[in-house]
Amino acid sequence: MTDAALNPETILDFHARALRRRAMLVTGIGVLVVAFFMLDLFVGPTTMTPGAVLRALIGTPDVPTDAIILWNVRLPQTMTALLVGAALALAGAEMQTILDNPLASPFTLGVSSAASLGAALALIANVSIPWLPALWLVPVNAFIFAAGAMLVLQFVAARLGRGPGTIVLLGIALVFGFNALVALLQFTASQSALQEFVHWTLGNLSQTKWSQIGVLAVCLAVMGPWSVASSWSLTALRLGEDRARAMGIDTTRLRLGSLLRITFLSAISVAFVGTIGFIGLVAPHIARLAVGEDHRFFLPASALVGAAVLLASSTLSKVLIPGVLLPTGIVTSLVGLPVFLALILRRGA
Amino acid sequence: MSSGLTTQGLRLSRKRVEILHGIDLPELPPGSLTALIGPNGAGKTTLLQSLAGLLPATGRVSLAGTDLTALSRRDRALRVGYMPQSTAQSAELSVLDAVLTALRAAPGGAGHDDARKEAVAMLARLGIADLALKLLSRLSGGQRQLAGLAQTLIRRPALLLLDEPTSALDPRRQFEVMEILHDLLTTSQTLGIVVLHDLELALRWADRIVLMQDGRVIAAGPPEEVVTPETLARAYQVKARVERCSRGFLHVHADGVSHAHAL
Repeated sequence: MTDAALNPETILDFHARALRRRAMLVTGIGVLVVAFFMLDLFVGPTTMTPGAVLRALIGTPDVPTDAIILWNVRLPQTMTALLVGAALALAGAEMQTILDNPLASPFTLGVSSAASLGAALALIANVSIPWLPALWLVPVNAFIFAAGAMLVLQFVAARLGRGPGTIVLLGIALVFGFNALVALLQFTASQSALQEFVHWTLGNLSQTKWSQIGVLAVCLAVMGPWSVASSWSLTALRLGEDRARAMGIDTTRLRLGSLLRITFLSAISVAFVGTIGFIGLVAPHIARLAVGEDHRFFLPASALVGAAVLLASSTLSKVLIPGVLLPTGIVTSLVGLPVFLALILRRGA
Repeated sequence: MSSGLTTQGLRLSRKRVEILHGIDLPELPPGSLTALIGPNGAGKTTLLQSLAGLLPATGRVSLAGTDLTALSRRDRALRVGYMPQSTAQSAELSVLDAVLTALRAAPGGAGHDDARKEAVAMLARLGIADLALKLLSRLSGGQRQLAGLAQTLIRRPALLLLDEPTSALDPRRQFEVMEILHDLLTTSQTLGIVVLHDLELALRWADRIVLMQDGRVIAAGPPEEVVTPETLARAYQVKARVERCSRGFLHVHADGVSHAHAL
């Protein structure tokens, strides 16, 4: 036995402090999100002072064009960055937990590849639901394929009752299958269709409309609290499958619920903005380094880190090359990677 | 009505191959410690997981007159605690947070402050209070085993099923853990079934021993009746002597491999 150097009161005190620290870290990341949100609103190709942006935001613009720029261009992009960043990171965090795999992200299981196939069918082969308005053709196709891929995984997971290893392998098989079909479509595509498709795959926050932002917000408003409500069970799953089951947790049901949330969060995000793959992998890692794996803190922290990274990427995509709006998917990796590496190296992991 | 655990005709098949061939355990009373022993592949872990409801065994498992197989997963988990053999826990969670999770993720978990005090008290009882704030991922195998034991014990089940809880511990800690376990079972009137490979530990601490081979119970009862040269030769294919020392404890001395094990 080890000699108890700490008495129970001291341990409880240290633990209470650790809990407060975690709550403060989550709040701190939240404040950072608000700051990045405002910064993203202030930055754009048209020069607007922060004061002018704020006045346009509260309905008293200096000139009418300020309101138009803010409400039709900047706010939609910033809101999209906020919501998509949070959604992809939350989906990634849950994915890493239920698959017991730190390399998992929504895209590991073929969500991105499936969405790409859906988008490619719409953009290259003109295959889509006939009565849809043009704005929704690509997103709906991408969503149908992404959700379809996840439903196949859910069905197999439920039917076979196998562990996370089988789901990962099947997901990888789906990635290769979809990528091959996408490559086939690209091979046969016209130059203009190919260009449009490649642009979609690079990930772009600037094309989203308010109606789509509404869909994203509702999805996050439903899935976020549902996810946090499963915090204790998801933390228990990190203690081991058998242990969680012995605690009375139906791990099959827990995984299926989680996969359903991941499906909606990631499929809707990818459908609207294209491929932004880095967030779902890295944001949970950063959150884990900050607050550990008590999912009461880990899940909100992941979502907030994801939002912060994508908001920062959105801002940088506007300023890196003056006058050029870079695809955010590229910038996300350029921004997130150094931060991530710095954290890993500092921790000595 | 029985106050302990009984099983009748417990069977389990996987891919049409029967693994447990109708296990009938004698009644195991509350407050007692039963050691489940047998060679590798005898079905000890399978039996333990079947009793915990983690495997779909058929037959009757009755605890204090309640048919456990008829209970929901949550209700069964309230009565039965199971500690798996694996100590692999890579979670970025402190030992205290892991014990709290075990307490609060389960149905009917305690409130926040009570849970924290209870968890610290359990860690202190196992002598690992100073590990409370350390991350599971940074512990040694033995420390993780003790942390895992705390996660199972904290839920105070009526039936405690432990799969090799001392396999990663040094001799002193093995002894201490068995002593704590024995005290805890006696004071809380909990029934413990513990898979052990170390026959010395089984003989020293168990009130009863169940010897398994090939998915069957080949002997069950008081240690001196179960652990004999004959049963050891049959189950383990070893030549062994079983002798009582001057302090009254039984000891096994293995002298070699037995080739005439068919009785």
